[in-house]
Amino acid sequence: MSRALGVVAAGAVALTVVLGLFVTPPDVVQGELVRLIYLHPPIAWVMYVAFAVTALASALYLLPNTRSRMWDLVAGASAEIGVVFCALALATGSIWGRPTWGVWWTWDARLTTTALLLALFLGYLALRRVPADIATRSKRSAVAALVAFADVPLVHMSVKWWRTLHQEPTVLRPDPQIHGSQAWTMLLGFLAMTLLYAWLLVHRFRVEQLEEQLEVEGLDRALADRHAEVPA
Amino acid sequence: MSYVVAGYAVSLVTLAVYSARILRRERALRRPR
Repeated sequence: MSRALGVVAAGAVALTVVLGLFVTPPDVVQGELVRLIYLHPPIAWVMYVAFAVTALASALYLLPNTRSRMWDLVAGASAEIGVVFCALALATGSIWGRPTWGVWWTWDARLTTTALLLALFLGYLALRRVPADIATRSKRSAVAALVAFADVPLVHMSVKWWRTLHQEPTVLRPDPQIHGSQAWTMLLGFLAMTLLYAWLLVHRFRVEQLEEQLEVEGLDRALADRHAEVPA
Repeated sequence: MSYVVAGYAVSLVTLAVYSARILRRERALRRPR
């Protein structure tokens, strides 16, 4: 199942790259640079989705009725993927910003809130590694995830609430500012990156599960050794 | 166009390396100890 998902995701990403680089026309205003629109917004979208999944899973872990180990592991797995996509959103944005705005970086509201988001979720991942018993670690990580997620609406609304260099949304508005093959390729980009996220989440979740199993086994073994040392 | 190529290269290489790392880690954890 995950292999099929991986193949479809890789195919969709490859098709987006071919259409984005070779088939779609250059833009009247942006010229060839418009080709980054098939990559940068879909990457930022997955960043939102990944952090939203982390926040949702964390909330489900904190609620006594839905508490399950699974939610903590999903939260951790999705946060790491979100951090990778957040870093890529900043990198591709910076590469786009240099020829468009004349600078690699500026303390614009969208850029600053996104950089803050990266720092917050890097902190979350660090917190997950602070030694503690599994229940304590999971609970404090879940609270931290919800606090960090509060920055996501700020990132999204920053271009509306403040005067920014970053443009307003292209697609998520009543009158989308993109049409024809450019619009379809961009939508394919969103689908491709979402499928890739789903595939990454499946595998990253398995890694979380296996690592936790190893941690518990190691603890059991250490306790057994300790008991063996104590004279009867 | 060089900025476009750089953007695509950075993204695709990062995602490929990250995916490969996850698969390698999963395989290593599944190996019997």
